[in-house]
Amino acid sequence: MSDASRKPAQIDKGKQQGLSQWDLMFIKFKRHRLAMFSGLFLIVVYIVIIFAEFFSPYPTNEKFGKFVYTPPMPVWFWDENGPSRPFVYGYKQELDMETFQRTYVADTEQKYYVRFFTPGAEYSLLGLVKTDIHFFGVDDPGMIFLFGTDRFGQDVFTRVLTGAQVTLTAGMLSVAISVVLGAVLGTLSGYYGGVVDLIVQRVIEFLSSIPRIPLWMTLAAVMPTDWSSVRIYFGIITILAFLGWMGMAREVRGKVLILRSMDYVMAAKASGASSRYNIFKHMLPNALSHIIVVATLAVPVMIIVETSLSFLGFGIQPPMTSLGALLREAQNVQSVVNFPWLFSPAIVIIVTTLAFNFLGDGLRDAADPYSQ
Amino acid sequence: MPPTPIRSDRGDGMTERRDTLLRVRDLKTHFRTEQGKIRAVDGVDFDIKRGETFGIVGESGCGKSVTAFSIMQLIERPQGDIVSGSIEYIDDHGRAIDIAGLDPNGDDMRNLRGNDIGMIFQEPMTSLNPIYSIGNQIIEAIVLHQRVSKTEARKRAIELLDRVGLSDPQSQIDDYPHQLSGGMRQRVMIAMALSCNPRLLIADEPTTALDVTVEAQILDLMRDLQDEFDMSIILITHNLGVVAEMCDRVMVMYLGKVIEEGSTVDIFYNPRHPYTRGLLASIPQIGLSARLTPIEGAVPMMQDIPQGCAFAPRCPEAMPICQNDPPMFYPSAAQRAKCWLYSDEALTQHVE
Repeated sequence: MSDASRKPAQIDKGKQQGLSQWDLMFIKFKRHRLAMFSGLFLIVVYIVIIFAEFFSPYPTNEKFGKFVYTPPMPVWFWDENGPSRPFVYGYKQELDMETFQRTYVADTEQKYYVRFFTPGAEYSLLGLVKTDIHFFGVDDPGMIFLFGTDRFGQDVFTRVLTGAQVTLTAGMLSVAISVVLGAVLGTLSGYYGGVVDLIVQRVIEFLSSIPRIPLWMTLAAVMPTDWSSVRIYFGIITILAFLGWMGMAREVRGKVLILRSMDYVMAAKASGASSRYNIFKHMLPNALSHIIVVATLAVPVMIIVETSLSFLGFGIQPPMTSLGALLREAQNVQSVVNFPWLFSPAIVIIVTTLAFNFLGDGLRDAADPYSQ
Repeated sequence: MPPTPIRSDRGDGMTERRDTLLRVRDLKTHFRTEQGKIRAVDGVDFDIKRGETFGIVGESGCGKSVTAFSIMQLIERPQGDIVSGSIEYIDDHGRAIDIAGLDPNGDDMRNLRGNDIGMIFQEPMTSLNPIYSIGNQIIEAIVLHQRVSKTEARKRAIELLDRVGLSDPQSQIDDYPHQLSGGMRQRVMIAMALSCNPRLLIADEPTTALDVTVEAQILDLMRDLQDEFDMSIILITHNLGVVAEMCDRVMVMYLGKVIEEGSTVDIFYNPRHPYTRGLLASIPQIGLSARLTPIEGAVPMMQDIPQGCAFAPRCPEAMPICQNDPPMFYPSAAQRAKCWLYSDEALTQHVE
């Protein structure tokens, strides 16, 4: 490694100059197409659900008595004259004389063009700005039910958006809380070892040994019934978080145990760095990529758990709704046979959990220096 | 503050009061393991003078690194602990600070580390944090001890990198460790250890992980810097070639004990302890085609160190008296050896 030989190598490297480990990870992540796509998809999903009131055409709980169990309405881009602006047909109600069930038939006479940024019911965006502009809608008296309607004539698309808002944010927030809890306890346990480690590990083992679903149900059931739905929402998040930090704490502890014996931590100590400095400056940043991966993979688990709780009736209570609560309403044979569109919340769950898993996978590969 | 009088209790002729930097007395560092207590360092004494290079040699596991880590109070607790003894560091004002008595996590110890005593490690590949640029890490080390702004610290870091021989410190300061070779990283480690002008640099096998040409460069660099920064160096190594090249005095350790100490010349040309002789006999020499003579047997496990002289079972000159633990003998004023060969009784026995 003579100094003369260093120069040309440096020029060859060119672009590599000054790339931090985070830069390298991002380059590697970008090469993982599926993860990249999933990441972008999730960003879009979260933007849509955060502004769910804006993106849904109707208020969540508005019931259209004349449109009970309407099947999904296709949006047409083509009419008898050729290409057209997107529109939907109006529905005619007919009675099936064999089964005596009401069926809806598209009425090609009535055409309603889909309008964007159109005024509709008033709502307050993020609870701050009062407005009545919706992303899309159709002119009266037309209706647009992209995912059909349920037994009360409520727009399933709207309800899926608001349900997803609750479920997906609950998953995210509870993971955020459990990351903080897990990182703090895991670091303490790994760094200080001894009695601290013993206590934290035994607590983790104890909590993990309790069957999950009954425990969640019990905790969810003890929440006072007179709580507002927002309080229940945060109550559910807290329950999820307090029972979900164990895995995170173990992962962080393992990572800290490795990092603690790294030479650079020893070197920092030898240059006079304190424990706190070492933890915050050397260990946590090095564990961060690992924490992000574990957290990303924990979000879909939390989403599923919240869904299960609500499905069992212990989670989110009306008038708030969640994907699990929506599925609960659909849990009967009649829905399966006649109204399959009521299961659209399930599709949302499947797609988002898959996306989270792909994203986590890509992040793990990017963060692992030994993968190709 | 007036200088505290320093005791020179040993009277062993090797301690000179004025220019002593570090005085270690009866240092015992023990570890508790499942196999029992390990006396990694078991009653070690030595002095380091200002400006000298002091070598500690011995096989793996003889306690040389633990000695260094004890001086830095970096012993992994609670498994390990400095059980007894003193490590007196004499600062520029002549005050003696007993490191062994300081709280390992306390402010006093942290001020000493990096500021007065710097350390470089064996593995340059892992001694730098991969997520920070090298400049960042040197700057942090400077800011930790000195009240300077980040810009000043950066300037100082560039100077240091230039001094340790990086070709383009202005731009290399923003490089990340993975962009540097092992030798470069060891240079960076040296720059970091020197960032606060320490009086003592502990180098724990600094060149073991490097190839031979780089080793020579790093040793040259350390020698140059020693004069420039006016510091003492403790060089821990198992490489006697490095010792011959670098050290003024050498201490040989075996199973946690000092068995011989003397000037480098004495140790190489007039080794007293059979173990030292064995070590020297096992160095290959250019021009000699004879087979190397290894030391018989293997280093015993730390858990069952033999009674008496620990080296006796492997010693070609073992005698009955070696059943008893030998004291330190002084065959000459500047050389000591822990071996019965130098006692008068032993001499008579030997003749028989």
